[in-house]
Amino acid sequence: MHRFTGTFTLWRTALQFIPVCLLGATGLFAQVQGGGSAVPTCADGDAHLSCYTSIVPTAPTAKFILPHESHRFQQIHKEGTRYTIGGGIVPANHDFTAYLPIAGSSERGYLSINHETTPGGVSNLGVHYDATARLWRIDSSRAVNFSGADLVTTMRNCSGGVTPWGTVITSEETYTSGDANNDGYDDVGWLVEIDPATARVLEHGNGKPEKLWAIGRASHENATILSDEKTLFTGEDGTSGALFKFVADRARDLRAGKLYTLVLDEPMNGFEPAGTTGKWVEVPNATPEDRNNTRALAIALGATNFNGIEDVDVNPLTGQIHFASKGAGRIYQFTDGSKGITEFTTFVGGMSYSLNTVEGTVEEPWGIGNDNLVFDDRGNLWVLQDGDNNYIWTVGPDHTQEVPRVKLFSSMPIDAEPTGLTFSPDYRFGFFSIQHPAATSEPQRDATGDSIVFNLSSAVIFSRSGNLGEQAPVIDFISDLRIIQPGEIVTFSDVSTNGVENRRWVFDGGMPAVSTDSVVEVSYSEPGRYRVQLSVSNTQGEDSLSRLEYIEVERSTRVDELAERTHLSVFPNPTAGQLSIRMEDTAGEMLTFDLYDLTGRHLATLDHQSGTAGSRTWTYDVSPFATANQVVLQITVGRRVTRRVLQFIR
Amino acid sequence: MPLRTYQIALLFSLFVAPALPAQHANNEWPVYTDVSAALAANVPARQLSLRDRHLFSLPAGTEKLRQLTYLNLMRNELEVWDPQLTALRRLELLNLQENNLRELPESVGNLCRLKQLEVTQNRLKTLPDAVADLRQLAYLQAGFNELDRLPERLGRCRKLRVLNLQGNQLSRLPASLRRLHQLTHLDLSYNQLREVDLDWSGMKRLSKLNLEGNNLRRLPAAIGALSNLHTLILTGNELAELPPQLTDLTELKLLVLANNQLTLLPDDLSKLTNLRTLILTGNPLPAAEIERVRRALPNCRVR
Repeated sequence: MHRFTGTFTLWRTALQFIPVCLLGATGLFAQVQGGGSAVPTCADGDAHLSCYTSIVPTAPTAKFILPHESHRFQQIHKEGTRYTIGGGIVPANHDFTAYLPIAGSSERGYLSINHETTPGGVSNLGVHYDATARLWRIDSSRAVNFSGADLVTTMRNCSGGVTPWGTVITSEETYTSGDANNDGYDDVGWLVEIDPATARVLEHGNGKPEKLWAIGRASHENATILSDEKTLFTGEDGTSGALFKFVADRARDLRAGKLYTLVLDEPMNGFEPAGTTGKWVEVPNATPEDRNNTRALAIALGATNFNGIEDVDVNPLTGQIHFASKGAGRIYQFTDGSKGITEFTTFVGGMSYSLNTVEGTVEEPWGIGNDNLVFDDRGNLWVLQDGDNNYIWTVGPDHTQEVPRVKLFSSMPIDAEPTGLTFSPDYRFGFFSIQHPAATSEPQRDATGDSIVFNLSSAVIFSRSGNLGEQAPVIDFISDLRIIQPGEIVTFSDVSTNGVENRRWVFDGGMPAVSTDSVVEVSYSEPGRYRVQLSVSNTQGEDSLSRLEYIEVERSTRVDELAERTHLSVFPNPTAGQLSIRMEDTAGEMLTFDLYDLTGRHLATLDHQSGTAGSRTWTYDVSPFATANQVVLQITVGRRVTRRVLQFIR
Repeated sequence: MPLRTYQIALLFSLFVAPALPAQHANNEWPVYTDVSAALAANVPARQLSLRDRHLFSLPAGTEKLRQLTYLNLMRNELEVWDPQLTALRRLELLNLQENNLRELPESVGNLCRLKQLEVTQNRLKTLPDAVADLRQLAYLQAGFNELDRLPERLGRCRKLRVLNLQGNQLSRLPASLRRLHQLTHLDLSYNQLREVDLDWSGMKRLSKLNLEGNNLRRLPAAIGALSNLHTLILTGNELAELPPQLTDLTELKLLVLANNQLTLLPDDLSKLTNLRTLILTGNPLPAAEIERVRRALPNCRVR
């Protein structure tokens, strides 16, 4: 999608015989009276990507804004950085940003990023999610090769689509004429299918990479392929403003099929549909001449001009097709069925909406420029805006213009537009780009914790805060004993997760009484029941835990008979992997050393043998069990048993 | 943001930006994206893209990049030709698309190596006569301006292959166009043409002619001389009849006649043996005439 300028001059696209929409004719910012406020569709605690409180509407600022109470982002693949394969520098104007899973993974795949430049380009990245750091990593990056006599070039790679069979389609949003290689086809203005695994344009049976000629030539904005693996929708952000449907002859094969354009039964009334029905009119696409002139054929066959079609997407809950008209500032929806096109209506746009923000209810006009669209698994429509305030909106599955369900997710830095949102298969992560921000953008922190700045085009990954970057600690501790004798040593271990940078123990009645170590040996001299407290923190937050009467120091003289009789010693503890057990005078007894995890699951028997006279030390390598922080060593001598908790040193 | 602040920031960014070579997918040479880096390059910079920079004029020093062959200034705020451009004598591709240029100076003729000139979506009312001096020019993209006339000598651009003038205000064409022997694509759609009385016989290589959205009431017989024409688009004119010579276009594969005033087609269509697609929608053609056309063109899809 090219930048929506305020001077989007309708006269330039005006066709003398097609009704021209006039701005303002239908009250672009009309306010619904008593329309009700947008209500959240998420229950409390719902961690779906679409669950957030609207940001406060704002004109673009020097920073990227998203709901920081619930979401985080990570900037990657910035313009000007180096490709890791084949050399070269990442070009500008990031556009469609497609996540393509490897084997269905939501944590390992390819990113295909269009560059809406002249000449254009497509970046191909191998990426994975580092679950420990909770950050995405780029494993490889390279440019898709469009040079050579077969393809000549590519230009203004705008949006695109991901096919159900795992390829990606890039859309050349241009209508520049010329046939440099004399193959009968104009060089640009096509959809192009790319294999993300090889970063190569697909061949279509002629022994050379080729563009998708049969879908026709236009200023293609996008491509959306249905799950039947045959039906493709694409729109023209150009003179015809037409919506196209291509039905392939065979599944997964886009080189041949029938092409249609949408003709409404009643012409548009300004930006609003006057009727609800329409039909698909077949557009010839048999010869190179037909295919080179799809735009002219659509106009000649009466294609309805929707004034700059941007993205098209299908609602996963209803199957209805939705598409954006940038010039109209509307998203239309219709049912495509056996009766042709029915239920054609305006889904969203053309008015103001009430937003429930952290600062209360705010009215905000939808404005112009709705551009990229994508549904999530719950039927929320995410709308990326190229115009007015360059927002990302979400529209709930139960939205109607009468009872709106609109929320505001994000605001772009000055001069930037959001482009090309896709999701991981589990809808935990969103992938999009921030195109052509101003050089004056200010630094901000992303999920890496580093200071970044949106002063050049880059891609962005966003998620719920818990999935990206360092997290606040989740506190917990354990001890090897809870009931002890006076003077007996208890070993406490901090088992908090997410990284602890600061720690403070308080052992009421213990010695020591306070500590900052992760593992602490404490003794208690007086009988009683004692509280143990632990506080931990890192840069993301803090947590504390207080356990009352956690340690009981017994008044009785109950002793560990086995330990006392054999002078049992288990060392070192904590251990890096080697474990020694020393006992005395065990002759005539059977000895068994077992390891259990903290849930009581038997891990291994270290030894089973007869005892010996005198003192003896047995030594074992227990490093294979160091995947847990602690294990329990059970020592059996004859019919007596005792246990020790082993702490592993990391 | 105050413009001045932005410009200062831009200049600052140009100054501190690292001298990184940029590479587009299909260029052998790096495409620099700022002037200071291009000036600092070890190998003289050949390609420079300053797209989307809100530029009202070129950054200082651009004129020193004498080895530039490619310059992309698409989507800036240029209202007048920057004199620095005239110094870039080696330019082969100059993209000024989507600026606010009101005119090009005669000095554009100094860029005598230009092969591709892209001035789509500006506010040009005419092209300077000196365009005729661009003897290497192969692609001239000048659509969506306000052109109401063309240089009489435009036909001197003998190497022109693609001439795109769609969406202008042209009501007449210079006779010299007949000299464009290399022209393959001519787009005159959405202008104000009432007639196209040219000597079309010189355009022996023209394969695509788009006259959509004009005010043509008739076509000249001479159009039949376009012996290589594959595509002819005449949608949205006022044609009430077609010359019989239209059927001399024996290479024609696509003919779009939608939305005219036609009541009949030429009598003898038998020479249009290569025609595969004929669009007749939006004409007051009697059903019998359409049926006659269908029978006469058995290998053609008629709509």
